[in-house]
Amino acid sequence: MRVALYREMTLNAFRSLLAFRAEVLLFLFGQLFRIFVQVYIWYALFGDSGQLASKAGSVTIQEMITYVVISSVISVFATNDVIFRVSSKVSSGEIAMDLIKPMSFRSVIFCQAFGTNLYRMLFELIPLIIVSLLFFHVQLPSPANGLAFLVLVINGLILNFLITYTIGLIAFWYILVWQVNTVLNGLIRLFSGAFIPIWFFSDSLVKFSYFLPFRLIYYEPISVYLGKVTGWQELLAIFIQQLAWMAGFLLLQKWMWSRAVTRLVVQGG
Amino acid sequence: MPLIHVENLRKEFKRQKRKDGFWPLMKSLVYREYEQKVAVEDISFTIDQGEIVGYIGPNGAGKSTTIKMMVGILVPTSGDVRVNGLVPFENRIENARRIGAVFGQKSQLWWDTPVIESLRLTKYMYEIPEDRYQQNMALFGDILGLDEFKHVAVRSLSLGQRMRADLCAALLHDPEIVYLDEPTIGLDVVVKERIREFIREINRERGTTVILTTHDMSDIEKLCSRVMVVDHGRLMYDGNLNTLKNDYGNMETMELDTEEVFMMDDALLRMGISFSRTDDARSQLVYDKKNINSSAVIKWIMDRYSVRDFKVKETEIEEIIRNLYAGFSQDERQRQEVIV
Repeated sequence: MRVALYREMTLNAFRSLLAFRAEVLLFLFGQLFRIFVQVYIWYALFGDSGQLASKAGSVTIQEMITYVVISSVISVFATNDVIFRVSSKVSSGEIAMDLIKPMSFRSVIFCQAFGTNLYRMLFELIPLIIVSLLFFHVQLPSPANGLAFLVLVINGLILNFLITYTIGLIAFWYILVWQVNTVLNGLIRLFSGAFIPIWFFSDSLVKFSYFLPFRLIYYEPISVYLGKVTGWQELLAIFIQQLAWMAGFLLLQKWMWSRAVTRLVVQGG
Repeated sequence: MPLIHVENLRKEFKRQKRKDGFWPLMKSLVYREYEQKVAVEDISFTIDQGEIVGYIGPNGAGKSTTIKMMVGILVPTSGDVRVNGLVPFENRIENARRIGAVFGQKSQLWWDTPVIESLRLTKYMYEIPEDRYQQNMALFGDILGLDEFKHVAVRSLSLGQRMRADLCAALLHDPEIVYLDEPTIGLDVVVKERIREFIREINRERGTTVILTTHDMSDIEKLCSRVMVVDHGRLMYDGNLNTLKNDYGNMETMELDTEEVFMMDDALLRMGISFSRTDDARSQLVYDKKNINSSAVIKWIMDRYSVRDFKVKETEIEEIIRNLYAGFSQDERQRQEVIV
């Protein structure tokens, strides 16, 4: 294992970002506004009743607010620029400079994304959590649920990285990455349950969401956090689905990479 | 056994044909036409350990493409590349451990962090032992003068500083081979000299094999014992620099400044000397070194004129390469005529 190398790459990515502090502040404000808007929309929807019926039984306003906050926390990590990073490296020919190094391209991108995550953890996540705790009543999970949640979130984030990396590789064939990214964001927004929990979906939408990996990134871990998923069989089922999708994307990106390398044209110079 | 072995190497690119006008554009949305472009055509050579080889040719000749295939970034269309017994594109990571590369147009340094951070990263990247790393940093830092800017972010470096830092990063792990693709492009004379000295030093001290492409002929003259000339994807000359000069650079130019107005003479013409006048009214005589030497020419002139000043210039290597191209295309033409 070359842990030291990955550590140093990640730290370098982290250091690179220290140059752009204004960007982070703006992003943080954006996140906070979004939480406030979502929370007040849910207040309006719940009205006086304090709880709504759903596919996961009745949901209280407290649970819903907790859902919004946790979803924002996950999105701090899940919103990455992997697609753009990969595609810009391919189209500018900068990828050549990564390929002369004794390291896989995937690891380079992963370390850079991870460094970005570390950075955002410090400058976005912590302020976000503080504000949420001050203004909203966020429920805390039971220790067992909390632990399961943590495992599932980490898996979800790895899955999220693999999905975005694989899509980024499309840049070797088409320079449509902007558009693909927009479609992907739409899909994630709807089918991951990042904005509206899947328990409020109609039957057909719920079924459809089961064919996509996105709900494994947001909805399922948050459901576990809130104690909506009970029984270890259900937990295990989520975990296995995550592993299956991860394995699928690992294979897919490997296959795409092997095809991509043979058609690589290094632009300029 | 040679260190680098290249045989019948070929690389084709598919390029989309683009036409002007509205209808062709609409058509291209549905149906795309491609054309083959051959970047490298049937190149073979071997390079031994410790050589400094200059790889030269005009823009688009296929130099960078060949280097990128040797490095393992590009996959050849056909033919064979072996570096250290390995096929680079199949063993990219293993190959990358043993080589260093600098592409003058691109940087391998981290743009937003100080230079020293990128250099430190190479220590982990190539698993360089700490004492070796310190030793190399001290030596390279000295020759390249890194100390003055190693704590500055790469994005605020000048081109010359960035290039020196890039060279250092490419060589810290003591690679067996180093590929330098236009390492002196756009640099001033002082920095160029520094970089050349560094390359010479590394080659002499470490026995590092150097493959260098450049447009600056003084790079070649000062560094390379062997040159390969490539054009239109084909290797046109491979050998000693002096032989190339003797074979294609036999013309000499003499610039004269005389008291009296210099007049061209039939006798000079018969000696095979041609005459022209420069902008500042000096006389310029061009002759073939093989037929007549400069002392015979100057003697003939001094017998008839009083010479204030004179200068003898050898053919510059650009000229030599131009001659090589001209000769080559002439051979081509003759061959084609024979076929017709």
